[in-house]
Amino acid sequence: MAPRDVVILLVEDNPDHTFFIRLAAERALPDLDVRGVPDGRQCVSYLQGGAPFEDRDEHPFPHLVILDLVMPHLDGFGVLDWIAGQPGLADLPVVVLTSSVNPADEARALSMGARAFHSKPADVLELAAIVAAIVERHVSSNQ
Amino acid sequence: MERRSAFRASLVVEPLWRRLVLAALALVAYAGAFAPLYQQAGVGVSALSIFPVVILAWLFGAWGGLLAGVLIVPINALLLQMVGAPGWIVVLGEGGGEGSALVLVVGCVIGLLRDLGVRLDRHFTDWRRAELALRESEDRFRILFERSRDPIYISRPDGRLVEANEAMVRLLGYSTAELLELDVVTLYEDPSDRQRFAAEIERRGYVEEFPVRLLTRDGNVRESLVSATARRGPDNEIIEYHGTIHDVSDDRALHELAERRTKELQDAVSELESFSYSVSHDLRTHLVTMLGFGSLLWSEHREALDEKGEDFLRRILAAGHRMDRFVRDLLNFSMVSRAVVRPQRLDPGELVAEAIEALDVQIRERGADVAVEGNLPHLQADRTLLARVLENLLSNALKFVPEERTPTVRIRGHVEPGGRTVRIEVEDNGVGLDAAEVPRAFRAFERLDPTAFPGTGVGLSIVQRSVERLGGSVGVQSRPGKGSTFWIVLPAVQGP
Repeated sequence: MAPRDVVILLVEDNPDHTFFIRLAAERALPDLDVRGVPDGRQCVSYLQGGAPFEDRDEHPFPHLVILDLVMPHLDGFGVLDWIAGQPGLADLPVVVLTSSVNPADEARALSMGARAFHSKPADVLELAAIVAAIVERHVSSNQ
Repeated sequence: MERRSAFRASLVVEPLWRRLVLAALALVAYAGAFAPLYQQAGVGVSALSIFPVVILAWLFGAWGGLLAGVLIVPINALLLQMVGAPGWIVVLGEGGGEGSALVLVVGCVIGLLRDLGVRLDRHFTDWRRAELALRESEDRFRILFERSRDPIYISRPDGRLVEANEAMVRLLGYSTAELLELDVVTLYEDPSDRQRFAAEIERRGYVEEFPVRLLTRDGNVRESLVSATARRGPDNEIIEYHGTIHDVSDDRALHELAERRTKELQDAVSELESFSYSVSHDLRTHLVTMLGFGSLLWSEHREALDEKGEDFLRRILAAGHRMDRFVRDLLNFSMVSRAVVRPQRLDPGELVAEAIEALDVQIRERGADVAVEGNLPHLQADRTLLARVLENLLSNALKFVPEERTPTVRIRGHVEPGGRTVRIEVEDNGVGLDAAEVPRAFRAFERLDPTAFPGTGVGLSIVQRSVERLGGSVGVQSRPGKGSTFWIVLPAVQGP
């Protein structure tokens, strides 16, 4: 699958971080299609195709979710919990990318179905490497 | 035979030599004192009249001899007056036997009485002494009994208390008089406990820490452990129980208090822990933004800055990265103290290889020569903690080497004599430590030379705390300027 066909849903409340992750993704794989939502609740709407994401041509279903943990309304664990309850989403890879370095968060996220857990690095180049690795491991092999 | 020797023993109050001397003295005294009297009367001192004196002195001592002599003289004098002949001549020749026999009997009785007196005196002295000792001993035991902090009692199988000490009075709230009146069954919350107690003591002769719930006078229950022994009578029937009671109610309350406090502490610690994680999360969120934009500025807009601006930006980025490391180290450090330790058989060689891989960038940057000498013996440790220890030790060994020197790091290990521990050493050619610096090196956030070497000063304290949690020890041998050898000692693999 060509990278332009890969849709990533980025769930991230911090606009600066959204900016960096998009930038890193661009650097890593220029043709990735990165869609962003600012919290867990909107992530759920997007995946459900609820308002305002009904139009799948405009809001294509993602191949991968990159999920922050600490967010308003519904946090990353809430999203993982919801996804785990949706049989149709069993194959959707979710990778956690967070500022947390807490091993307990990592263990909890992995036990709730996250495919991987990454602490956000403080460097765009490192971030780009991480995004590239995530896409390579969790999208290409799954398609 | 026995009776005779007993009789002799009763006579022999004084030693033989003393008796001989006394007999001789009695003889001399008698002859010297009474010969003139006899001469006056116109007769010599009869050898016969000396014998009773000597014999009595021999048998009963000086007083016996003297008394015999004193009695014989008037008797002889009287006989002389009456019949004109002295004692033994009268006895032997003229029928004066009664008087002489009387003399002998009186002497004997007096001697016997004297001996009896001596013996009685000794007997009474011994008896008084024994009585005193007994009283003293009883006083001592009485004090022990009364002052014991644990209740002590003596009871009878019929349920009556014979003795109860102060501690028992305090425990149960009854006065001593009340205790001695009541039936002990009423002291048991569950009366069947008393039956079980009696049955067990009947079977084994004693009970140890027999758990019972005792009722106090005001109806409170005291959790107690009773230990008692049975005292048996002539027909082997139990006549008394001698017991002590250990009141564990307070122990239990204390235990519960300790548990509650521990729980509170654990809650506080985990609250603090989640607080530190959320603080670190928020700190990192902002750091990621600052460093993200900073690194973008550096990589894409550096040419827009002059030399000074570039220098400032470099400093900002360096400080930001240090802060990020600091936050991570801080979390690591606090995590080591609380991590659950799961010891398992480990090949430290494998973990060293992993650490070398993790430090690949650092090793290549410095062109360092890192090698393991020989095989490292297997040991018993928690994987995560040991991995962290080895990585920290290796990272330190690379870090504290002057810029112009190529870091050379050697890792070796051996099983220590006795086979119970394994020692692993990491030797470097770095700046070393002098003896005064060693304790500081292991203290958290102490940095010996902050300007020369980067770091947060947490690495060695993580090592020390981890090794302690693994039941081992850590140390360093160092020569300032030449290098250091850090060592850890951990439990060896036991059994096959």
